[in-house]
Amino acid sequence: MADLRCPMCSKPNPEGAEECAFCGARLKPVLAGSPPPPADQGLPPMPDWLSRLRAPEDEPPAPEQPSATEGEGDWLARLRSTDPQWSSSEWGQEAAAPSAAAASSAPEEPARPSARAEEGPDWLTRLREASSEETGPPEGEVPSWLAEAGPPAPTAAPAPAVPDSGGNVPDWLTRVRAKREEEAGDEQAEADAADVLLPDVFNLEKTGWHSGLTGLLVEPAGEHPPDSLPTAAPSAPVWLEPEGPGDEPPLRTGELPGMLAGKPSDAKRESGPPAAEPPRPTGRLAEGKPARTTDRLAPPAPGSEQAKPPARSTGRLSRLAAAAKQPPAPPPAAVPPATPPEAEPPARSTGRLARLADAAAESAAPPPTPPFGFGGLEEETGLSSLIPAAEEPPSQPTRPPVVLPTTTETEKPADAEAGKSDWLKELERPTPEPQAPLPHAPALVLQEGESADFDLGSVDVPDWLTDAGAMPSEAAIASDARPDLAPATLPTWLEAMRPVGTFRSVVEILPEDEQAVESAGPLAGLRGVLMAEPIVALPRITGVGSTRLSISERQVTQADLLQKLVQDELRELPTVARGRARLPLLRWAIGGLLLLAVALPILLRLSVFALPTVEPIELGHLVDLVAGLPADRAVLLVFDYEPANAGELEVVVGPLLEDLMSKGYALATVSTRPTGPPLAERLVRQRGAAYDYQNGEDYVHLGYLSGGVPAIQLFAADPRAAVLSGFAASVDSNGGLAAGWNSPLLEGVQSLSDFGTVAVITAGTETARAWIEQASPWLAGRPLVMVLSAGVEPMIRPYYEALTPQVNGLLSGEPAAVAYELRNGKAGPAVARWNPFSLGILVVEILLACGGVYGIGAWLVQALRPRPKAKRP
Amino acid sequence: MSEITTLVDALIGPIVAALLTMMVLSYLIGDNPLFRIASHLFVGVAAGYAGALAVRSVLWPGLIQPVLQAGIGGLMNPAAVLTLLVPAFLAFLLVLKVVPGASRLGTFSTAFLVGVGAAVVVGGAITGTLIPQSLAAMDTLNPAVASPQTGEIGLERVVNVIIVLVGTISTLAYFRFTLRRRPAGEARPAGPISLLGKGLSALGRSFIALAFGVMYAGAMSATLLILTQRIQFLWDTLTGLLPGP
Repeated sequence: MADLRCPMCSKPNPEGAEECAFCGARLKPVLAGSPPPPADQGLPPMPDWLSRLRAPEDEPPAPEQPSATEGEGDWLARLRSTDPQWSSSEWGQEAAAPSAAAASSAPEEPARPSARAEEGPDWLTRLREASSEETGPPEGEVPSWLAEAGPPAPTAAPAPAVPDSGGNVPDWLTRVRAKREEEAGDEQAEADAADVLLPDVFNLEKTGWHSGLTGLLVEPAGEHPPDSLPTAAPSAPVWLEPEGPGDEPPLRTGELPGMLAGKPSDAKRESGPPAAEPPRPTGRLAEGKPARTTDRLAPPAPGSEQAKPPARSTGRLSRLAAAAKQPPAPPPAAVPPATPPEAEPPARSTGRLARLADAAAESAAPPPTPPFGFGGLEEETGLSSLIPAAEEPPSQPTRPPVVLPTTTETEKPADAEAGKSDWLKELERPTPEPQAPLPHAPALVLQEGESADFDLGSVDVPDWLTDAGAMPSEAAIASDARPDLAPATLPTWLEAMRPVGTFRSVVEILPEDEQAVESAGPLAGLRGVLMAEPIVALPRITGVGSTRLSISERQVTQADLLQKLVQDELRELPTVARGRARLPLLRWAIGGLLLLAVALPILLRLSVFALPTVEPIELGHLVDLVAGLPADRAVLLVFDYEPANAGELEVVVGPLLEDLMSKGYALATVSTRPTGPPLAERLVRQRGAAYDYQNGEDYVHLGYLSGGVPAIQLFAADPRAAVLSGFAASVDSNGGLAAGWNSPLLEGVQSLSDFGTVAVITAGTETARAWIEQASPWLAGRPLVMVLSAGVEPMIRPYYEALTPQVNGLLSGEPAAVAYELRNGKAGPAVARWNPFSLGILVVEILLACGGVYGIGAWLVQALRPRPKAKRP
Repeated sequence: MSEITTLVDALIGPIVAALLTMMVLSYLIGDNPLFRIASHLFVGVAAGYAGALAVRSVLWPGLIQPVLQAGIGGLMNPAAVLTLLVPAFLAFLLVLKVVPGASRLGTFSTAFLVGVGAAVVVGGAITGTLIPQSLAAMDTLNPAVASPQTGEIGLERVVNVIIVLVGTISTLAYFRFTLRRRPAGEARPAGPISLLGKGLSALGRSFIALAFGVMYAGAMSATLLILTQRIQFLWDTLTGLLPGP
């Protein structure tokens, strides 16, 4: 089954398809009068304008489709008849045969169109009449003007037009071709002046498109009444213009171009290109003129018109360009005022359409209708004004825009090619040379000689476009005052964010001509580039002065100091040469003096210093206190000093012990230090030897009191619970260990107040204070005696000299010990160490004095020395 | 046994002591190994002795022996629990402080010790020192009142009381920094109150200096007395070892 070629995309489609599967175009152009497609086909509803075109009487019955198709395609047939290529092509020949057969029925049909003419517009009526007279090309066959798009085929000289080659060429085509021949010469001159480059695709001359449409709106003289023809609206497209006066007969009423003549041509296409049906020669062929082969794909024959370099487009574009240069033609009076007022007079088309318009204006004033029967859309949309007044294109057979190979008209399908379709054969035929340039629309691509500037003033711009162009400029709008609109007010917070003074708030945009061209960077050569300078590229100084910090002198000084410290860290200090180790001569000297001062009296038994005669005040109280102790109570001695302090404290406490021993007081010792009990044992044994004091009988060691200050409080509260075992237990007379609380000396002792007195022997301030603080509340009036080192005595004296003293007896220092020994009447170690001690104190006093003098002198010398000026950093 | 004790007490002891004394006094020349030996020996002996004494005088009679004497049945006694088991458990946890992995367990015992000690010290300081001494500082200025310890009376006592009062106030004022600075760092110019404060601060600094001086003098006196006793000991030892005429 032969495929249907889509008229738009030229792709094959299955036979019977209504629409192209690739682009969606109708494969079967709708012809005026053709019955509407069945509803079951799912087609969209027919618009009104199309329905007007298609009167119910125009819808032939299905069996009569060929006849209806023939009647509707008469106008196309006329167009094609003027194309010698079409006539010579197989398709044209095939169409000519049915057209001849349909010619017999042509007289019948005009009656119908004539009857219909009164119903619709005149031009449409004429179209219908024209279409009813002649039949279109056979369906499925490609006209010769499409053949040029086929494979290259040897171009041949256009065969002479066969007057009646089997009577297959439609009359309309014949007329078209005749006109084309007349206008060929005129268009050629126009094409030269146009200088519009167009590819061959858009070259309607070569494609033959114009040849198929030239007879669309042209009414052959005498054949149809002028009034029956559609007025050639001045706004009709140029490509629909006739190529010359009297070139082709206009389309009859109801007759649509081939591309839109759906049913007749589709019917023919669907039935397949009749192999044996030659195309109807119309136009040129009907008139016996050689058909022109236009093979768009085939290389042009030398000397042929197609061989000309495609430097210009000869057709609509050229006419547009020419019309742009020509003054616009006066509009016809028959133009209805349906279109909006135009700013400029629209371009007028000259040629067939113009002639039609004139004729229509003279006779009547039918409303201009677009060539394709779009009703008044053309005027409404203003498209009619787009068509510039251009010369009539050369008469050429109009062809649908289908790219098909062309074949010469003389070639007939050989017997060997009987299987080929006629349209294919037609494509293979060389297309005849166009005698005149086909009208074509100006292409978008400029050809040589053409400038990019296009005077839009010569083009009929629709009113709605002109209104848009007539819009005031932005400046005009901005300058116009709009009292109805209130100026925008920014909120305060937004206004506060608005930068002021830092950059330009309004950028002045210069005209493009005045704008500088960027000379560097990636945007070189462009205009309108935002200038980087001086806002971004160049540094700028802010107009507003920055807030200055108020720096005080102290901060400056501190900053300088910090900087100096940092610099000193980085500065490399020279390595100090390690010198010889300096002997501590001063230390040796002082030490030697002191040793000498102490040793000489001992070694030499010197008695230089007299014994002190003044007793400390607190000694008398102590002696009285000791004298008043109960004899049946033991005296608690707390030995809380280190062995290092034994040399002093043993000397100081010695007289007290001898006093207690002399009075026969029982002694109990305890210590919060581990080394206390041994020291206590050593001292009591040494001093008690003279008084025959025995361990366990005259004195007892309670031992070590562990726990620190809490242990003192515990011992004060419950002595037996604090100390569990004694020290240096001795065997009593019964053989038991008389140690600790087992000793009969401590019988009846349950609390601290059961002791006669508590004497704390210590060299530390904290120990003394702890005993004072923890034990005083538990003494219940019992005296607390402090035997202190000379250095601790100042810190404990406030406890002694208070109105409510917490310390009842105080003994401290060598002088007090010496005095105590003298009071006891027994010289002891204290007296023996008086001279060394005194000499040592004397040396120390001298050294202190010398040191003081040296210090004062050095200070004076430094004060009197001039200070060097401080170097500024 | 007593002969050994006598030998130690009469011969060995003094000789060792004399040698150790000389070794310690050698520090006058400078740091030397003899001094270090002596100091290390002292630390070691003291620590050993303290440890032995703690075990003998504290742990044994206070923990181990009661537990052994009480037995298992006796430990069920609530009093034994509180006095034996709980202290034993706390002591065991305290010993775990030396174990790296279990040192955290001894934290409770340490916290208990520290807490109890702090409470006792603070309480004693307040009741035994702060209040009594504050009251003592606010002594009556009645000249008829005599000081019970010193026997001062009349003007002497009043002067002494004033001196003590002024000294106390000025010493406390010395530790009060009343000089303020401006936000910019500049010192505010002194005013009359600030001048008074500056005067009291200076007076307090004087009293503090006097107190430190007295303490230093006492320390010096004590040191000299100790030195004297050492020299005397050395001489006695030396003369005891030497055959006398």
